[in-house]
Amino acid sequence: MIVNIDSKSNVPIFQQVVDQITRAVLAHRLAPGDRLPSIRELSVAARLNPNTVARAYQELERNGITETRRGQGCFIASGQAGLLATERWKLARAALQQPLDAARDLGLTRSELEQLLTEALDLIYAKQGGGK
Amino acid sequence: MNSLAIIANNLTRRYAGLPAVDGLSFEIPTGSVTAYLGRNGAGKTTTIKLLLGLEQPSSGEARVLGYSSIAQGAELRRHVGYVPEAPVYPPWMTAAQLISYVSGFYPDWDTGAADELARKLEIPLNRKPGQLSRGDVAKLALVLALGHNPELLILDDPIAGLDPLVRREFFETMVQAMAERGQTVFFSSHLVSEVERIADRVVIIERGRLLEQAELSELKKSVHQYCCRLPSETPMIQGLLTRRASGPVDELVIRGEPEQVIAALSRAGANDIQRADIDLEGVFVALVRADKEVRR
Repeated sequence: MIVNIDSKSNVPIFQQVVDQITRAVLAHRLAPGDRLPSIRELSVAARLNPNTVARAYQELERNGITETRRGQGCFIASGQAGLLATERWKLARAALQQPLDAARDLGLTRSELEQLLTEALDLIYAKQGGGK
Repeated sequence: MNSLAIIANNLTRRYAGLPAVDGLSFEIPTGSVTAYLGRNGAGKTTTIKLLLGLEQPSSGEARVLGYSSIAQGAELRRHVGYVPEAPVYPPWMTAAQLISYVSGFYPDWDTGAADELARKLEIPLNRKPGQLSRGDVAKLALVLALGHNPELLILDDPIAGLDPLVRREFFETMVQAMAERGQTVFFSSHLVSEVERIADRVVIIERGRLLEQAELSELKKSVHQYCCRLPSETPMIQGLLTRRASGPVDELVIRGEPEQVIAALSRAGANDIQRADIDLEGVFVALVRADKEVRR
């Protein structure tokens, strides 16, 4: 399934659709030229209100993530490197906010948190075989 | 086309002097998908019958697709697909015969589409109502409601008592119909969590009166849950719906902009304020409880 909606979340459902498709593009699970399911297909498959899916698709197009080809449907846009860089930062920042808040709530000082992050990063990038 | 598919204006219906629906007013925009929420006995079924002209109001009026529910019930019902709460069908007809019988009432009946839908939903067409499972009866009711391509679909708690598989099929079919035809959908339910992905609007009633009508996303944006420690003497907090002590911590559901609410809580002397997500069910429960509190 291309999207996995959490109806309990306070994030509006249309925004969840936008975020998840954007994330799939950033993670190369969707590539430029890939066709998205039609509004109807996605709303039936995910049991979502078609109006909600339509709104998400509009937003994706406005963000430049997708493009509509007349009569063919909605496709992942190409030539968007700069744009994707911005989106990458935006989504990563949003994703990190909650765990960082949680760590602060646990009473970690700034330097303790930095230490924790460094350890975690070392672990992740060591597994990947020594990235930057 | 009317921009409002349904207008309820001060609808009241009394049974033996007791109001089941009590001065109820709300509006449903064309093309919206509205969940009509209320507890058992809140007046959902009565409202739907009043809208469809199947019962007459004690006072007030309703217009559905521009037709008066009081004076033009039969005309109105030709343009509406209706799934009743507990459909009762003549016991001697098979499902196939019933579909064909009902189609006779509608000049616009789409035989091809209705038969295809019945096949897709795997309704055993050669069986009579007594031999159909609850799920199959619900599916049959949906086929009968969609067969004439109605502009408006009204469903009275269609998923109550259905197993998860049938519920899913039922919703998928509903969504498909919505996507293909841009239908307006008004459906009542007391299974609040199920409706959250599908509805874009909610109307909430309690004891026959309106508690809330709003865009679902707006409602979820405006009501939040907060955990904090409050001093024992707390001044009034604006927008407070419910407050419950959980050990030393208070759980509050408050309506308002989160920043303003948190500022107000701090002014009231609250410590360790945390905001938590709340789902539609939580909002619903808080609204109903707050209403009860007011009546005390």
